[in-house]
Amino acid sequence: MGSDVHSWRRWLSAPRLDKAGGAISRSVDREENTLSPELDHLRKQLRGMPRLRPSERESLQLRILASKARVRALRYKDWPSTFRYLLARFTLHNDNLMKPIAVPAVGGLVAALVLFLLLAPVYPVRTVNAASLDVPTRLSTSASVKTMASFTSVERPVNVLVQVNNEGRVVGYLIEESDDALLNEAVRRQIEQILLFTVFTPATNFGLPCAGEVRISVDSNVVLVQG
Amino acid sequence: MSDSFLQLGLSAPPLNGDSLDAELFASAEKALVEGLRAAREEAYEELIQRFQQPVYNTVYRMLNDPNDASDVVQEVFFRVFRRIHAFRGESSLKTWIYRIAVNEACNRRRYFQRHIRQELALDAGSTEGWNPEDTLAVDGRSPFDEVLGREQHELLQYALSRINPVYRAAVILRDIEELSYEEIADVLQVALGTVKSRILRGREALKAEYLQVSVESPVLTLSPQHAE
Repeated sequence: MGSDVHSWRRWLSAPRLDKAGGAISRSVDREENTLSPELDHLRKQLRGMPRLRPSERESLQLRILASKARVRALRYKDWPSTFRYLLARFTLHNDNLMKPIAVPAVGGLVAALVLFLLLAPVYPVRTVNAASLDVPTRLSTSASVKTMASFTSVERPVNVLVQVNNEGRVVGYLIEESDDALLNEAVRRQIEQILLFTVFTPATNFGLPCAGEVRISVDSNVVLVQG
Repeated sequence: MSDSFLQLGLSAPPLNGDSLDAELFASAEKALVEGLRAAREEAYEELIQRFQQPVYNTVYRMLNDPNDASDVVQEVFFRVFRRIHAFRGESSLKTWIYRIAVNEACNRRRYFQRHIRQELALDAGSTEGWNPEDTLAVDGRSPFDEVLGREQHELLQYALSRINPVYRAAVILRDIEELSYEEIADVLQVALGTVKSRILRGREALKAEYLQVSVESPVLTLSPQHAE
């Protein structure tokens, strides 16, 4: 086998040996034979320049590079090799990184869990009524009754359409449905007293208060807001 | 040692024009490439033994700096090892490696011109790579011839570093590495006529530079003195 290696190397290095001997040239061109004497001399000088060789240290560095490249090539040669390499890497990380921190990590997790279970029952939990914080996002809202004066009442039910300005004050009212309300001065005064002490929320348009109307129903003992 | 590229039993050099030898050479090169792809240690060793010196020589002649040449050689072989799977065999392995070397050397030279124009090597003058055989070589030449030849080579290298890099690469590949025109065309990826043109112009430019350098700093300065 040694002779095979030797013959193969000798064969590969054959061009260099022939060149050194000067007997054979790989490319014989007519241009080479018709060079001027000066250029021919220059060419001979160039061919006579010494063959520079890398130092031993550089050769060693190159062999180290080759070794690393070979290991890398073997590592990713095929899918099983790649899988074995990744598995070995994972095992290495698992043994050297995960195991040392496993006990402290589990201890910390258990301690945190125990503390949570101990403190959770005594921790005051506040419930928030979400409906009270709800803000209508409509662009326009109608006027509404905020507080109703309830110290007076009428004898018969009366439907009143109240006109509210942008400050929430009553600027007028219209009795829509009643038997004798328009004729009875006392009933009208009672209605006006109710409206006078009733606080309205003005209608809004794009967030700004504006004039609006609200329909209420005044009965003998209750006041219904109809919208 | 069961590698196929080592068991070919080849002995004859493929330079005698025999097509059979050429086929065997191609098959050996193919076996070497397959060995590299299979990550065989022998293939890596053979590749380094075969191509490290010519690649280093080529890159050094192009860059004229031993430190840069060493770095570029590392880059070249790193790329060869990484990209051997992408080698399609449309060209020979030799021209493929030379192509990488020339491209890396050109990239290094551009980077050097842009970024580090003035940089001093800390290990300049280091004798770490010194080999006694370098200075004790006995080839029958006299000390005068030895010194004269060395000075001429230094001037030639200096002149070589001053010509256009495009021509320099062609001249180095042809006259120093002695690649054929076809191989140079494959390495530089230009037409055959372009290769010939570049080599011719490169030689002319090198001759002009060499003459100028020789005038500016002659190889030997004689200082005759009267005999006492």
